[in-house]
Amino acid sequence: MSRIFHTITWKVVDCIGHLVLDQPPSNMMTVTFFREMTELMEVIVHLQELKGIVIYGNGRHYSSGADLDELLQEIAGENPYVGTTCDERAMHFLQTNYKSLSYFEELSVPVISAIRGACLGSALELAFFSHFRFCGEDAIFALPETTFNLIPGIGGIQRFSTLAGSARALDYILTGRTFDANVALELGLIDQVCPKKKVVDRAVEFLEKLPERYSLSLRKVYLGRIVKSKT
Amino acid sequence: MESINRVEWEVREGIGIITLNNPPENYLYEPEFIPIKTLKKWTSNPKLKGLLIHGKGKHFSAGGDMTRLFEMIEEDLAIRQKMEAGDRVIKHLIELDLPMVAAIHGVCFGGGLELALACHIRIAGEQSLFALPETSHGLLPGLGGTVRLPPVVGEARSLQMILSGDMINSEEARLIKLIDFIVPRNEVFEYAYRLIHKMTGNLSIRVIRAVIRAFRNAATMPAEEAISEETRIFCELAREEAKRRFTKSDK
Repeated sequence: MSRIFHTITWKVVDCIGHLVLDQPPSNMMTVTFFREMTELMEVIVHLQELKGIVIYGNGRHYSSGADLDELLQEIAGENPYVGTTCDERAMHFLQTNYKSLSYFEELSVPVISAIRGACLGSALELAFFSHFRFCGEDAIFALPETTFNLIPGIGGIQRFSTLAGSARALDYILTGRTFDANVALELGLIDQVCPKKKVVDRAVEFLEKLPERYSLSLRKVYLGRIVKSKT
Repeated sequence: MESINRVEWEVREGIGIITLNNPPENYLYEPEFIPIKTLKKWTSNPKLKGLLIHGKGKHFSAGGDMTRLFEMIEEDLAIRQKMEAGDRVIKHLIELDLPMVAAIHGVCFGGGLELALACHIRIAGEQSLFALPETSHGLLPGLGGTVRLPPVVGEARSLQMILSGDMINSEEARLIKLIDFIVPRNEVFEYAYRLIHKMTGNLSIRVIRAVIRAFRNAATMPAEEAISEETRIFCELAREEAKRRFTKSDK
């Protein structure tokens, strides 16, 4: 297993790509993390034939989300005291972050997030870009951005609304409160709750059992959606 | 409390409460059920954090008063302008970008249901009744019902409701996701009020508006546009927050 990245570990076992968020204990999503994700998605992922990808955190947690201080510094730039209008640099930075996560849904191989422990903010948004989400009984979710005077900025609002309906999405996003695995399942945000030690194994088994033609259909579903959104 | 055309307005703890008070059925007096000038004055309160819409007495609202509507048509009172004025009232409410909750009990028909459909969250008492009966009068839902119903319950259920005009009860309405919560009928208002309070109590109006705006964009814009707009909103909030934090820590 080579460690070419600092914040993530990428390994391929039996044609399944393991993407490990690897800055324990909280696996916080730093600026470096987003940059490394972009590199991974643009280059590395395409070097091998894959049957699927499973995303999980090293240790007890999936991820506690973005490193807020670092993120704010990056957006504010050199002069945080002047105005609230965003310059091109800040917008480009945010759009690149978005792209580094949204890339998953464009892949023609199925992606599963295997979630244990905390899955907060941008981490939940990352999980939303997976095609499937399995979680352990101990998983804890939230989109707490509004409690820091922000909004979920990487598609969380759209995904939460689509999966759980806008009434519930609004409630959980405005209060920013946490919810557990069973609530997440009821809301339709999660596809399966498993014993916490089995989550990654279950995800890998699931990917292994998918028929070969699955990847092809996935691609078609995605393209269908793109065509629809452009008309 | 202020009132006009049997609609009352009151602000409690930052929550604007619109009460339809034309008992027993709480018919909407006109499509423009609150004159737009009055509505603008009422909602210009800078402390508003959310809106609650409910009906006084036994019902939410049975919708437009059909007898009056047909009288207006006979007298050739510019019906189209009136309907457009009604649309403007609903549009104004939506574009306040505040969380809007309908607290429904009893009947919620026609224009009443269309008003509820403009809300983000619909809470209904047990044994409430819902219908869009316009087609049985040779009309169609004219206050946005044909546009706002399908995204909520899907095309099949929408067609069924609109073409048949049939009533459905709270359980069925919940099943097709027309309403979001069912609560005991005498607790509807309380539940709605507490929900808005819980959602907005700790947040600045700026953040509340940003969230609702992003929700509105997600529903009305093509995905790519909504996402880039969301990024821009996030960026502005982040700069504001950065300014607040860094200025504080420098002191």
